[in-house]
Amino acid sequence: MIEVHLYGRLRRLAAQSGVWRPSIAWVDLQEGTVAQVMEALGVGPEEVSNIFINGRYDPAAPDQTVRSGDRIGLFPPDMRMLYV
Amino acid sequence: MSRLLRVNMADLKAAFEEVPEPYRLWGGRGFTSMVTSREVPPNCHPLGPNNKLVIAPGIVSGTAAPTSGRTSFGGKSPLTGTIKETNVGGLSSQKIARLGIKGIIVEGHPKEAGQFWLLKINKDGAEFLPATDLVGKGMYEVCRTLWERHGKGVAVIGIGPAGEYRLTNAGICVNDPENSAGRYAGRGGMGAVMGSKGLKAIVVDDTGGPGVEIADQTRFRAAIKPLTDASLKHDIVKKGGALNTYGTNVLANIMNEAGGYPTRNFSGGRFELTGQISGEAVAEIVKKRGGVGTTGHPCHPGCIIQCSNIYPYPDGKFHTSVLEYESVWALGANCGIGNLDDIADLIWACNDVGLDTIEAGATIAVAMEGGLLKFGDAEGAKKLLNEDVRGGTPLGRIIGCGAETTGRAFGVVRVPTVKGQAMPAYEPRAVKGIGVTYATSTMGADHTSGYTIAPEILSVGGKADPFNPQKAELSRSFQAATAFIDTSGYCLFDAFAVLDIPEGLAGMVESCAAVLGTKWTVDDIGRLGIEVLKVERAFNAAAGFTKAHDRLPEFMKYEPLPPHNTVFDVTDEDLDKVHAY
Repeated sequence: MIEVHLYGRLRRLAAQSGVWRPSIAWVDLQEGTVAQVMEALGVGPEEVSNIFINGRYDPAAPDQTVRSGDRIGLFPPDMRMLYV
Repeated sequence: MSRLLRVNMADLKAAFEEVPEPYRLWGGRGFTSMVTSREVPPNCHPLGPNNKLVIAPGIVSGTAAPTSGRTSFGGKSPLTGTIKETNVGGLSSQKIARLGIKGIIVEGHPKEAGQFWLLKINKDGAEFLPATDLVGKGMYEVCRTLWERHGKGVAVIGIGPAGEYRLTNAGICVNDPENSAGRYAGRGGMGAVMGSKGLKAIVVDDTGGPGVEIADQTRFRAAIKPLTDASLKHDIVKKGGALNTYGTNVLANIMNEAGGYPTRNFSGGRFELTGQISGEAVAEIVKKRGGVGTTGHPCHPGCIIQCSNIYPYPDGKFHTSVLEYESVWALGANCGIGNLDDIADLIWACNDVGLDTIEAGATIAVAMEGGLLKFGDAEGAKKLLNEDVRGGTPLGRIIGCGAETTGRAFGVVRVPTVKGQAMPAYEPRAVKGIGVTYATSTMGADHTSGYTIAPEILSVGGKADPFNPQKAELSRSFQAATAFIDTSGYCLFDAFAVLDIPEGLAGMVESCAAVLGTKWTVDDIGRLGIEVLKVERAFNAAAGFTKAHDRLPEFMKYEPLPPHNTVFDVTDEDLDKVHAY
C-alpha cells in the first residue's frame, strides 16, 4: 500500500476529507511510478503542484518509482509554492 | 529635501537636520545599520545611554511602489549583543516617509528613570507629550487611546509592558489599517531599547506632508510597472495565490510534509496536529465564522499581496490579527498546542504585552522541556504571558527575556538559539541552507535574513536539495540580496516574484535608483547588500563576535531529527566560507 497525504481541494479523495485530521488515501500498489499512483486516485497532473516522496520534494516526482510503505504528499495548484 | 529627525531623551529635544552624506543613499536596514555602525559604540550596554534606536522607512516607502511599507528599527540588540535590524509593515513607514523624514534617531537616557513619554510627529515638527497614563497598558488599548486623542488613521509605534520592563524579548509594535496592534518589529528585543529611552509610543500624522521626493518621476513610473506585473502574475503572491488565499501559514502543511516543521522544542520535524492549525484551517474558520474575519488582509495600504488575516471569535467578533506561519508554529506546534483558538489567544497576548511571537513560543517550549509546564498546556502558557510577563513577576521577567535566558534558568540543553536569538519555524537538520543562514546571519537565528527555503523547498529562485550541506554560496547570495531588499522598503514577499521574473527584479532596483537619482542596476544588488553585511559584521566583530559564534547549538549535531533522522552536518569550514568576501 502507498500512503498518499492530500491537501486543499485534493482532500476530497480521502475518506476523511476535512482539514481537522490528516486526509490520507491508500493506494493498493506494490511498486509503480507516482504518476500511476495519481492515476489510480483519479488525479490529473494539472491538479497537483508540489509533490513530496517520503518527505522530500522532488520536481521529477511523477516519473519516480515508489514501493509499498512509501508516503507521498500532494498539494494542489492554489497552494503552489513553486514557480516552474 | 528629506531630513533626519534626531530625538534626545535626556533633554527632550527633537530637531531636524540635513541627512549626512554617508546615510544619504540608504533607507531601511542600510540606513539603520550605517547609523548604528557610525554612532553606536559596539561595546556599549544595549540598554545604556550610548545605544540608539534608529527608525527608517525604506527607499521607496511612501511612494506608489507596490507592497513597500516596511519600517526598519535598528541599534544594538539587548537579546543578541549584535547589531540589529528588525522590520515591520503596518502604517508607520509610508507616513514617516511622506513627512519627508528619512530616518529618526532616538538617543540619550531620560533624566528621571521610570518616566515615559509620547513623541508626536506631524508636518509642523515633533513634540513630547507625557505618557504617564499609558504606562502599564497593553498595545491594543494604547492604539485605541492614541487614535481617540490624535485622530483616526495616525500611525502608532509603541511598546507594551514587556518593553517598559526592558525585557530582552520585547518587540516594537506598529498598528495596522484597522488600528489593531498586530504588526511587530519583534526580533532582537528592540522594544527594550525603546523602553530604556523612556519612550512609550510615537504617533505619526502625515497630513499635509510634502511626500517623498523622487529624483526622476518618469523613470520611477516605468520601473514600478514590471514589478507590479510580476507580483500580479506570480503563483505564490498573486490574487487567489497561496499567500493571498491561505496566508503565510500555507507553509505549515508543506513544511510538515517536508519533515522540517519543528515540534515540541525542536525534538521532531512533524506535528501530528498540523492540519488543524494550518492555513487551510484558518481559511475555513474565517469563512465559517464570518463577521470581521477575513483572509487576504493587507498589513498596510498599497499592499497587493495581502498575506495577512483577521481571525474571528465564533460569534464573528475580532479575536486576533495576524495568525501567520511563524507565530502559529511558535505558540502551536513548537509548544505541542494544536488548537487555533488557544493559539490566537497566545498571539493576542504577545501582541498586547509586547513580545516577539517567535521568541515567546520558543521560550515557552524551552520552559516546557525544563518542566515548568507540560507540552500542550495552553492555559499554562496563557497564564505565563498574561499574568507573569504582563505583571512583571520574577518568573515573567525570565520568560520575557527569551529562550536562552529561560534555558539557563531551567537547566535545559536543547535550546534552539544562535547568538542568543531563537530559531524560527524551519528545522536546520532537515533544511540545511536555512541552518547556514541561522548560523552566519549578522542578526542571530533569523529566517528572513537569507531565506534559502525558497530554492530548497519551494523551488523559487532556482532549485536546491535541502539535504545537501554545501550551502555557503546560496546562503551568502540570499543574505546579500535580502540586505538590499530590507533597505529598499519592499516587503520580502516581493522577492518571491522578482526571483523568478527578471523584469520584476530590474524594476525593484530601478525604482530605488529613480527615487535617489543613482545609476544602480541589477548588478549592484549584490554589491550594495555585501556593503551592508560588511558594516554589520564589523560592528559585531568589534563587539566581540568571532566565527566561533557563527555556529548552531551543539545538540543539532548529535541528535538526529525524526522523520528523516538527519543531523546538521554542515562543516565549520563551510560555515566560515559564507562571509569570505
